[in-house]
Amino acid sequence: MRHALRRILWIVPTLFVISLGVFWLLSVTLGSRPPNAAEDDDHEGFGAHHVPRFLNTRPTSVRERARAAMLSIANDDPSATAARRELARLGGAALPHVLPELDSLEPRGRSRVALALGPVGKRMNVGSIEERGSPEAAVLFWTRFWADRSIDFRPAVVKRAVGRLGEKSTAGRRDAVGQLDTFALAELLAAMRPIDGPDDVKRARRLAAAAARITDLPWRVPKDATVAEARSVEQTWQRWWLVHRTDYVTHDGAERVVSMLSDTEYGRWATDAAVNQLGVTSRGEPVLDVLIGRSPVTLWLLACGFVGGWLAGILVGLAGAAQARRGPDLVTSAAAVVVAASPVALAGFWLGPGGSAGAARAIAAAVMVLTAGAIVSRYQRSATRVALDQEYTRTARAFGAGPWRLARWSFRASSVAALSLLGAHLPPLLTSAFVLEHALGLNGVGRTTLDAVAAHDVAWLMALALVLAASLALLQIVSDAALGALDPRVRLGFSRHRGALE
Amino acid sequence: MTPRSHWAARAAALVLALVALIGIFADVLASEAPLIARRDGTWLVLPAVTAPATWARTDPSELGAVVWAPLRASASSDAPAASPARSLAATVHGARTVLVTTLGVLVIALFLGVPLGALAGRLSLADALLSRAVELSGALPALVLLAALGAGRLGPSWLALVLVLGVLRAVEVARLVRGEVLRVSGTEFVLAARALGGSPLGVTLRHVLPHAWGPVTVNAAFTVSAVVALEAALSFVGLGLPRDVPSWGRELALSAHGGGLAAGVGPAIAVIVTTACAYLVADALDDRLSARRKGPSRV
Repeated sequence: MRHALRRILWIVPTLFVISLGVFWLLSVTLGSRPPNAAEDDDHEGFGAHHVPRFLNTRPTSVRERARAAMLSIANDDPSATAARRELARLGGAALPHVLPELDSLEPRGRSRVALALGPVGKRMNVGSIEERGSPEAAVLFWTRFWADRSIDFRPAVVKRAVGRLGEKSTAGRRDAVGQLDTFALAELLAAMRPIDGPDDVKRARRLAAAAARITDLPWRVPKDATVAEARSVEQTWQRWWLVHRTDYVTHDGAERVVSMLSDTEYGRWATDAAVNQLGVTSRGEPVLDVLIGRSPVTLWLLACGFVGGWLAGILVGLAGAAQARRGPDLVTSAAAVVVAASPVALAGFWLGPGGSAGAARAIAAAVMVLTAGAIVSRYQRSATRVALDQEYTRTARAFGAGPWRLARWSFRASSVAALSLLGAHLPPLLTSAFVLEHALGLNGVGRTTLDAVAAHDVAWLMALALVLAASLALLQIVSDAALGALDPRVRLGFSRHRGALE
Repeated sequence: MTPRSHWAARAAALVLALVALIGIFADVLASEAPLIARRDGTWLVLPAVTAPATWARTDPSELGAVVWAPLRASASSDAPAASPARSLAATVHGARTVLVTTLGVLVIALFLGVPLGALAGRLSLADALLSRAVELSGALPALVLLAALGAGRLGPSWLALVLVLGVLRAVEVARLVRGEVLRVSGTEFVLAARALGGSPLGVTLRHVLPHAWGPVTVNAAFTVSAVVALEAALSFVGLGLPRDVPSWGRELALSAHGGGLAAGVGPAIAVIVTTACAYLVADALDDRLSARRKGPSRV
């Protein structure tokens, strides 16, 4: 018992190691970006978001980004056009890092930067076109703006402005948040959750509208939205924030160390998985929902394979061993070899898609029972034959026990082989189930997985790998416990092993 | 237990050898091009293989004396007519695919798996590494991994298939070898060898590994059966090999998707016979092993 508990606890670090390994494998094979990411690039400057896979030794925040963009504009680098776009995107969050530095630039660079801030001012609705448009006026305007308003760019002010907007949306309150621009994003998104009732939906609607206006992204909560709709919009925002957070927030000290780990591809996946229950598929549905929706078919197939296949296999194996090398045994042996040898693809080929869903399910189940049963029967048969050759069975035979009774008596010894197969046979049975789903047109996890691979959906594949690894580990523990119950020597082996470890 | 008389396994081994021979001589058995042809006073021997560029430009009507292959059909799956002859030719050439794939997987599995397993039996660090590898290989089934490879930057490739299957089997081989090394290391003759001053490496190589071969040979035979079946399954789903490589699984898929049942009989029989024969051989090897051990083997 203690042993089983220890192993269950060990699953957690194991899963972590597996998630690292699988993530590495997937990002190497699939490439880190989905095929349609290129479209996103122009839209929101996604291109600046190449992050390392596991360890970001130089995490950037809005401070570094804003300074780099400012210097590039001031020196009129070849990349100045991109830098202007970058600065406009960073918006209000960049102002505390750019405006105080304006004085330290030489005059021409200063006016270039001030002009580049024009789109930001327009979005914030401050200053007139003339004030933002000509070089001298722009420098003067922004210098004055910072002298007047720098006091507003503080967390407490942001919190108050966002809180007031959440309560009620008036033009004044909208302007107050709008003039903070992207500096208010963190607070806006944080204030959106939790969404539990109709009041929360209204609040989320106002805040999402403000965030959408600032970032020029389309995710608004529609009028008369339900709680679920509002939540899905809110989750979209949170996922976007996960990737873009570092553009709008500075981090110091410990936060910088954390961002070395979290501001990586793996870190983003892990946060997404932890916050949004295993993450979201590339089609925008939560992974957990899809997994629960699709798993009945696959679980049914696996259950058929494990329960039906093992029962049938053990019975056939016992019968075969009892009647070894006589008519019926030869027939079942030959059949078992052929069935175990024919890949499930053959079943798909002979039966093909078509017929009703129920018929397809029944066929798939029968195939699973047959394939698993054939393999198990071989193991059971050979184990029973070995057991029948032991001295205790020979003694029993000398006392007149028939072959069937002997096979039953030796079952405790011979069932070890079939049981120890349990864990090892999950992956092959799963492969069979996937191929059957594909061939027979069943809508299960296997089909979703193949689609996910085509769509480069890392979140789904990661979730699948983790679920598989966890169930594999659990299955192994169960089968080991059953082995221990059957064979005391195995239990002894466990405790000796533990003694050696400690 | 008296070992069974293994006439079935012997026959199965012969059939496997036959399949391998068919694979090796696929170009002689089934080809669109002639085996021997006379053109402009010179003899061309297997022109499609020895001089494909010249052959592509040759007009068949120019040829003098010609000896055609027994099966005169193209194995290419892009050939327009879905005739039984074409499917049979593809089955013949598929034997070569199976041969190369299986050999590749076996080479990788053994050359990677045996040293890793021996190390894991000796060093706790390698042991930890191996157990992580076992868990990892359980978390991503070959099907998903290959699908990911196929959808990635490189596209489906033969090399990737062989590498992935080889590494996955290597993990299994390593697990077996590790168990055997642990078992044999505890025996008295190993203790004696160490007492005589044998170095750890020398003792492992000379005394331990030779006794760890049994389950590995059985596993190798099972590997043949598994690789043939898995390759067929993968190609059936459309994930295994690139389009231009003839394969039994693809032939099955072609016949299931409109090619007609007749076209699928050849590849279906080929798959079943090959896997069943490999299975029988493995079964017999296992039987012999457990007879020697006096206990059920757990390969």
